[in-house]
Amino acid sequence: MGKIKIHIDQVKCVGAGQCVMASPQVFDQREEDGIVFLLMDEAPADLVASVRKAAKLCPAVAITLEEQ
Amino acid sequence: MDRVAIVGASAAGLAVAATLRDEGFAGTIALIGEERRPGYDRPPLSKKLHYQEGDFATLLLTDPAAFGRLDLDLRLGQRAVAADARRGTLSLADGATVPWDALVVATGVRPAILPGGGLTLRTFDDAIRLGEHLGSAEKVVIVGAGFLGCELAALVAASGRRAILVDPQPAPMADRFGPAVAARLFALHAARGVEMHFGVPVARILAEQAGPKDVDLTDGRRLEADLVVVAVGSRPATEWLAGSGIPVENGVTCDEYCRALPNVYAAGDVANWFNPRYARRMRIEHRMNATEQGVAVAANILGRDRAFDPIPYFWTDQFDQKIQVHGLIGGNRQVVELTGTIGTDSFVLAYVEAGLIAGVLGWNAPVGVRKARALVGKPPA
Repeated sequence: MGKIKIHIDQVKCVGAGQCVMASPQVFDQREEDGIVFLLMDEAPADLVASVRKAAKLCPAVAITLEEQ
Repeated sequence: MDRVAIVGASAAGLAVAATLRDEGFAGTIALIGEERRPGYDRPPLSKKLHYQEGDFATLLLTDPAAFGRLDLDLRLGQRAVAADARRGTLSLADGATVPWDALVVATGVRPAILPGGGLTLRTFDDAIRLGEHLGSAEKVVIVGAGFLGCELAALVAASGRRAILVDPQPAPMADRFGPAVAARLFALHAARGVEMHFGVPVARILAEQAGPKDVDLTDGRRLEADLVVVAVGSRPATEWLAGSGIPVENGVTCDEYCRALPNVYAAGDVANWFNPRYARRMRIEHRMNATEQGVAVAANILGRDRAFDPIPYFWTDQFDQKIQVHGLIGGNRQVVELTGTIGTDSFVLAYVEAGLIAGVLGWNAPVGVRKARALVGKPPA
């Protein structure tokens, strides 16, 4: 399993934080409004499973993944 | 197990289909949806007014390329009219029969309606219709102050129209949040100009007449409107299961594996399942649950025997305020302020039941409430 590139749609993001719980090394939330930002744009192989989980659980469909 | 049929092509049904494929399921997946449109996200429908056809693509749950890769036997615009659990078949409105080895009921809910009319909001087409009717409306009566009614009242008021919110409860969302947060919500709506009539049931709606519409309250008052919106909850879409052999009572009744019969499952708004974390039955009409339960159902179809025991999550956005909840809140549960106070613009609360935190609520505190989620199930400090 290779690396994966991650995109966040900050307009769609509802600040649920489900991605941060699924993959805290990759996702974080702005303190003021909860909007998610990335701690890394590409997830290494050992984090890919958690990033996929984050993308699937996002209740706003704000995370898209691009296979490398 | 070669053939899975999923009735309901929205968030829960799609989560089942995608997870089955992610887990390597190579059999047939029939996905049957009543709407002609591919699955889309519903919470945004009450977060802005005036949706237009061109907005639809932004709401798609699955982009078209990924959708194609799911390799589905896709039947959109098709209503399932009957199921036979003994024979393992579905009947569709067009006369087709779909055989299955495992069936997933993910048909969601339909909005409750009231005699006398009024618009309801559940589908994208409903949202377009609402936008068209709002065009010329100055005065909008919204019957029902739950999630949908409160979010719509906020949008209508923020658009410069008169928003009039009516509910027999003592305050907005009081049944959900309990009295203290409901009072805070009342103050928010009052400060932003929403006219509210609480504690009085509606006696009669006259929304189908031409010209001005009327909503009569049981205390004799008459509210006049250009437009009436009815947001008084919803009913599980299970009428088509009559005679199927699948147990139905306030949704499809399932065990902790979301299983109603050995090869019949339910996911999303329609599933009334036993949540072992709280040792009680639940039927949850929230977006997060649709996905989580769909994922769990797919795993259980594949024989994982995974009990579905989520800490439920929901949120609501009203005006510029965001309220987020993990776990169970409201009712008689005792409210404890964890951060800030209820009078301020940002706070986190715990709701305590039998000495343990059953749920946490964040008001404009997205990071705080996420961190407080770890306290659910523990005694308060």
